[in-house]
Amino acid sequence: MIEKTSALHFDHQIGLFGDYEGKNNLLKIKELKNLNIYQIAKFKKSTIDVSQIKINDLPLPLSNPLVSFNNDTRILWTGPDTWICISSNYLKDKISSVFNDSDFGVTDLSHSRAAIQIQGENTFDVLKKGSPLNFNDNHFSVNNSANTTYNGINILIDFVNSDPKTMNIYSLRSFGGSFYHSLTDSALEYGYEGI
Amino acid sequence: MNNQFRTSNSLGLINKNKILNFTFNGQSFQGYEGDTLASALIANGVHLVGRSFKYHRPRGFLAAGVEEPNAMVQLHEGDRSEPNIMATEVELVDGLVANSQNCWPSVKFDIGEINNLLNRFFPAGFYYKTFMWPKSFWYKIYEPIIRKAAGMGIAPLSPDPDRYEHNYEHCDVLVVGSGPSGLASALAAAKNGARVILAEDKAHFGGSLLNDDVTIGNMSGREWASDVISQLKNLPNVIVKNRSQVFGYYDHNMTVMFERVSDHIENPSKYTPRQRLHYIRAGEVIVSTGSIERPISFGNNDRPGILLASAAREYMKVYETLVGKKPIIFTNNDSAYSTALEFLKNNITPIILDTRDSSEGELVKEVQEQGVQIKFNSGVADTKGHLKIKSATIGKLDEDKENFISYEEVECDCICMSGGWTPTVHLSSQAGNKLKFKEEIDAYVPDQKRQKESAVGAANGSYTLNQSLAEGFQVGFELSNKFTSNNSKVDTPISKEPSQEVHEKLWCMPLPSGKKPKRFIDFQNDVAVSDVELALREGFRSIEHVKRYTTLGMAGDQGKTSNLNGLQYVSKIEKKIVPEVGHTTFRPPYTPVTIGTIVGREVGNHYLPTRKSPIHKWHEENKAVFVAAGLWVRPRYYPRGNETMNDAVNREAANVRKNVGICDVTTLGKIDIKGPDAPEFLNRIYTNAWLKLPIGKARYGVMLREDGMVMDDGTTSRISENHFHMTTTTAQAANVLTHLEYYLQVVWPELDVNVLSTTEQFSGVAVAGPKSRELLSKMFPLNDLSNEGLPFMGLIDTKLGDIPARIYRISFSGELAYEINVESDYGLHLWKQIMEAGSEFGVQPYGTEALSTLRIEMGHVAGPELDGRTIPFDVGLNGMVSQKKDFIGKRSLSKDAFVAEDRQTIVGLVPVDKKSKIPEGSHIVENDKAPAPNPKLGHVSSSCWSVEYNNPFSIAIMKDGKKQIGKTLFAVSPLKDISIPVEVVSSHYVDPNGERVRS
Repeated sequence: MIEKTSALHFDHQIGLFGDYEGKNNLLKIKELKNLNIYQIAKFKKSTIDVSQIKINDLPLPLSNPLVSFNNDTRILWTGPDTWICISSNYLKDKISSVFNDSDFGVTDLSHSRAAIQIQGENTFDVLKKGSPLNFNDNHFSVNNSANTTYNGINILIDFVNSDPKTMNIYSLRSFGGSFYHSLTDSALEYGYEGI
Repeated sequence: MNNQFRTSNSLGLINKNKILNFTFNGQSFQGYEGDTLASALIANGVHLVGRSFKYHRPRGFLAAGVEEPNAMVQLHEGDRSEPNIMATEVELVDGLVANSQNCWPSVKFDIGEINNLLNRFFPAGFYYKTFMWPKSFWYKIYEPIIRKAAGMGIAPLSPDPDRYEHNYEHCDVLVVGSGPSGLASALAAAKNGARVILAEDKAHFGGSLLNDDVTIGNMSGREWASDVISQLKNLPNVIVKNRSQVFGYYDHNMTVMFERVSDHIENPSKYTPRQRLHYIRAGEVIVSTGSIERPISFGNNDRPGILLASAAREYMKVYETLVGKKPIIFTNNDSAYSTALEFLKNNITPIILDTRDSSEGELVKEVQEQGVQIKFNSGVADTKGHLKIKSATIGKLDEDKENFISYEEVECDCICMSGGWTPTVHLSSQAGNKLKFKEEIDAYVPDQKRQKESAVGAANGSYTLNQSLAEGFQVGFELSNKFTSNNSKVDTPISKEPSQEVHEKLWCMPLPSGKKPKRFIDFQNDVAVSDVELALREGFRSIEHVKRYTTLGMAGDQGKTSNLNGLQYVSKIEKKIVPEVGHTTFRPPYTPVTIGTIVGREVGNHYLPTRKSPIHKWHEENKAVFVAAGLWVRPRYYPRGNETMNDAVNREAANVRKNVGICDVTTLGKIDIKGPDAPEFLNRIYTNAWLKLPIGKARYGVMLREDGMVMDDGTTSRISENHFHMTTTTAQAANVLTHLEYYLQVVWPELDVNVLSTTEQFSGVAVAGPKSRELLSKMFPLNDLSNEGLPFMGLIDTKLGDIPARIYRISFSGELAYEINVESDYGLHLWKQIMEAGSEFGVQPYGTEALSTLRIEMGHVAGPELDGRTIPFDVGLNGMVSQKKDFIGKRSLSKDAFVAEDRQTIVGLVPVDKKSKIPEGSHIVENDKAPAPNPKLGHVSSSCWSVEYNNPFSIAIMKDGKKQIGKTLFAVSPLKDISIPVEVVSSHYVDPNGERVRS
């Protein structure tokens, strides 16, 4: 029997927490598991035109802070000629076939991140407690992503839905416990449901 | 219910339907919802609230807001007890407990008041002169006494039980202060579409509009303020915050705001923060912080019952509270007459003293029309009353206003004084604004801005309502146009207020004939006019020096009511104009902020983020004792039963030497290096050659800084033609990645290489010991793990069941050893599988302490040796340095000092008695009895108990080390008063030929 333990296996708790009583549309917090995460970096001397490349029909976003997406895959621009591709589907073979190793460095990071989804009207209130990112809608809107920090922990935020506000947030796996507890502690003021 | 000092009207902002009980100095009182602690006490006839800092003089309320220098109380009890809280800022809640501070045994009878009787011995700077002799008394007698006397109130010793939070906000326009100009600015900016934050320190919005009888449009000032706030609250682009004070202004328009979230709530939820610190990054900041009324210095002007005229008016108009029933109004300007009018509305006729010869202002005329006689050209000379003012000596001033020419004794129960107004320029000054002195108002106003900050209204020296509103609407509109293209302007409403005449330039009354009472300038720091005179007499000329010598304008008060009066007095004595005197520095915070708010949630488990491996839970369950390795939390050792740390470490290390041990090495840095130029890149980074490393092989590498010092070491494996896997030490992982990125981006942009941390992707377990091969062969039966199948520095990709795994044949312990990497989700599974499979081989986990023991015995270098001061030669790695190719740091290695014959090198040390443990950091000397400074040959970098030889062993870096081998020297630790005779041996204490790792 192979024991598989996700990044927040021993941290994430199911249930109602904080000031949840008498509130509708509670914040929901859950761990995202079994994601396929790849960093794709184009080498400097490569002459490949990345605007022509697609993964599962998704183009690579060409500027900050855009995200290409469909139902199961999201491609986040994380730097010049650098992307993070996150999917609930197995993508390794597809990616290997699209990105040759003389033009691209592709690295599997599927096990290297703790991933948390936070959803609800108070999502920004919780995030603003620890992140200096400007969450105002003219700066950061749905299907945008950004690297920032949360109480001293580097995180990557992907704004996946605006109604209800839903963010997928990724931290380095080793910081996962600290990040989770920091985030959920911030959510206690509004009350939240761990799902 | 007492409350005998309430007004008869109900026009204030308190709720008389809700009675609140509170306790002050053990006595029960009642107040109303909406009261502050100050207004409730005054309503109950209590003016004596504390004792002054130095002289322990009885003190009452001077103000009604943040400028209060006297009424500091100890709030709450137990864990929540908090000292130095301004009673004027505390909103009354049911059950509130407050006590006076800086007094013993009680505020009414305070032994410390003896300081007041001896005040001639305690002038400004007395401690600089008094405690000079005898010298030996300083540390044991003077300093402890001074420390005991210093400070006010008592800080609780137990942890703060409340929650404090932080919050980051961004806006186009931050408006600080909700007086007329602030409301106008916010409304103009918000209606034009800018994202606005409006911050108000008090519970109620409106500032001076709450107290002044003015009209704006067809509304009263108070109604207009309420209307604007309603409009702003309904706009989606506006955040309106009361009980929130912007107290600091830093670079790049970063401001900090302190919000009292639940201090005013009786029973807040345990998850509701008590206070919140907001970091606000604003495109533009509008400073509409208003102005603060100035006191006037006269004899004994600090008695309870003497307060600012504006405060008296605010207590009447907002809190329906009378500060007294026999008032004296003492002023040098017109504004105090509105306080007189307010008394008259309550059927109280005040005595009015005006230093001016006359005034034609509308307020003055209105008072006169009500039949009140005004004593022009008059002032207060002195006062009487110990715990509360009872009477005043008032006098007629001569033509020069330098002396009184006649005196009169009048009974009173309060004096409401007004020395004019000082713009609140603290935030502008913090923002770097160079202030200018505005002669007409005798005060400094913002002038040359360095940041995107604009002062409006009274904070800008514009004292009339018309000016304030016009400035507010105009500036709000103009600044918001930087962020929107709406160009939507709000019309400035027509306002009406009484006209006022100019003030008298007189803030310090002459001394009464034949007397020398204290005339206080700075109430909080007990600085009197005589102290300023003394400082100037003693040669202090710079206003900054005068400030420090006298403490004028220092501490929590930051000179809100005292700075300008101090400057005016210095300018008068020095016969300079005020701009020549200059002004002192305004520093954040504007008012004291609780430590809890600054700390926020960075307490307890949230003090620091930590990093944990996927195997951490197992370590916890198996009672590992942890140690911080940077932010990583690593098992230090795993005690069994009553084992001490030494017992456990020796057992773990010995088991590795004898059987097999496993160590969680997930924390080692792992860097994925990919690209056509990856081999060339590594060849330049490392000191040794990398171009020909075969696929499937690992190699030990050393990288240097440009100055030739060793930066880090580790093994790097070639996974495929263009793909390498680098490992680093745990501590240097981030630095090495930064180092690599720097060279790729800045120095060698022509190289096609991508580097990326994969530390978190893989969980690593080191399996070390003579039985490690047997153990792994059991777990991986399909793999040939023999010397031929997997030789030293080789690697194979395999599977543990269905899990992909990579086995490296590398060793840090010096034993036959392997390191297995699996994807992190399977790290715990791998660990458990090894423990289970290894039971028949005596497998035990070992922590970082045993890991150190094993590597020290073998003479393997680590952080203590690679401390940024050693080159490869020093640590026995000169064999790793290629003489043929170029690499980072190569040129530095040819520096004279680096090739000196007696250069320091690594050696081993064994105590002669084979028992004494050698402290790390000890100096190595030839003669431990030599007089200081005893020439140092080197230092001990690492020490352990050798489990191989059962005696202490250390590694040292020592001058001409190899030539010292065989000698007996001394390891001395002056701090521990230890001197240990040691024999110098090879650093390779165990298995010097490295046979075990290749076995």
